[in-house]
Amino acid sequence: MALDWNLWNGEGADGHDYSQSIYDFVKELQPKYGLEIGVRFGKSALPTLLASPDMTLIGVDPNPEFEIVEFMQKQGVGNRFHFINEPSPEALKPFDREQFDWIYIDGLHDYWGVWRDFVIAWHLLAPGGVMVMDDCDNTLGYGTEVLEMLQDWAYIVTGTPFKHEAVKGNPHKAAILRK
Amino acid sequence: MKLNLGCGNNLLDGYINIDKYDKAADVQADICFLPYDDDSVEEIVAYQVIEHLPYWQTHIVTNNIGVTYDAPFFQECFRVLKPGGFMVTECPDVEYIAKRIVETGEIDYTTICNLWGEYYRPWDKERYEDWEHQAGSLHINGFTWKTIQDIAAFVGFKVRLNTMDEKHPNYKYEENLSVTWTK
Repeated sequence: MALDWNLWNGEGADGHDYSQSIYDFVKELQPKYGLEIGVRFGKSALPTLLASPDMTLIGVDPNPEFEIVEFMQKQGVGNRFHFINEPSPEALKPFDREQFDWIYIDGLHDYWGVWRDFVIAWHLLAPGGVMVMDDCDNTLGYGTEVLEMLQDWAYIVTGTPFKHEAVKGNPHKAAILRK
Repeated sequence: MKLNLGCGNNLLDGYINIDKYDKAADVQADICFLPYDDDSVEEIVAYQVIEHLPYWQTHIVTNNIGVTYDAPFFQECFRVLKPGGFMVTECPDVEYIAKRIVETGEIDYTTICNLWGEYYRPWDKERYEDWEHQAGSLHINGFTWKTIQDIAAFVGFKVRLNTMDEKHPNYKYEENLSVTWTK
């Protein structure tokens, strides 16, 4: 299925191949309970929900630039999308260990900002679950701190040596980490 | 001469207490530009300070437009210390903290303060006049024993880990990374 790119009407309207790559990847996995840190325009949250019809997604963003809840309702996925308007450490406090089978991290992009989200989210990922870290290259001008952080910390946090497996077709070289 | 860098309102007798933001300091200055001669200082202490400095000021890093920084804060401390002089730094051990979160799943408030974020210390709010000053109270940087060894080797310091007994009385915690740097 190709997504309808007119949904965003100019706001965050670039990067359709990015949304499509997330859609295709999630379609293959069919996760049931997901977490996304850094929702912004919903350009990954909506494809995620559309690709996995039985999925519930928790979206976290302290400062969304978009009426994200209203937008998701209009797209018919509002009942499966729960938005938390808090910084991630506050937002993740209530969740139990190993309950999400999909975690998408696209929040802060500086080294220690993304480190924080990685560390506090990893224990929430269920065995067999998948974590995706966006912006591992400089496509959007964020630099390469996400990738550098993963190279330094993935082994310490996950216990597995890091090898950059990118989401197929993803222009930001989003990295896949499997538990 | 002894320097207490990034002192906040924790003033130490016998030291020149230096802070960029806090008006209680003896000298208000950016601790990356110390107003002292080369080889003029016997001792520096920086308790719970280096995690408040930007990453590029404390690490060897090339940014996304190709500019390389060579840990300027530590270079500056090395410059002013006399040969044989030493510095003590204490900061959160982010490796210890990361492992604790992953193992226990608990994100307590102390840990949140030790992570980069949108947080500021509410109890500090009255002491600062604007956001930039509040930003000085954020933890925006992290260190492990390995990263400290790498920085020290690059700058020319010899480093050793301090024991629990040697740590600052207020910070006798496992997650407090206390290091002595000798020139």
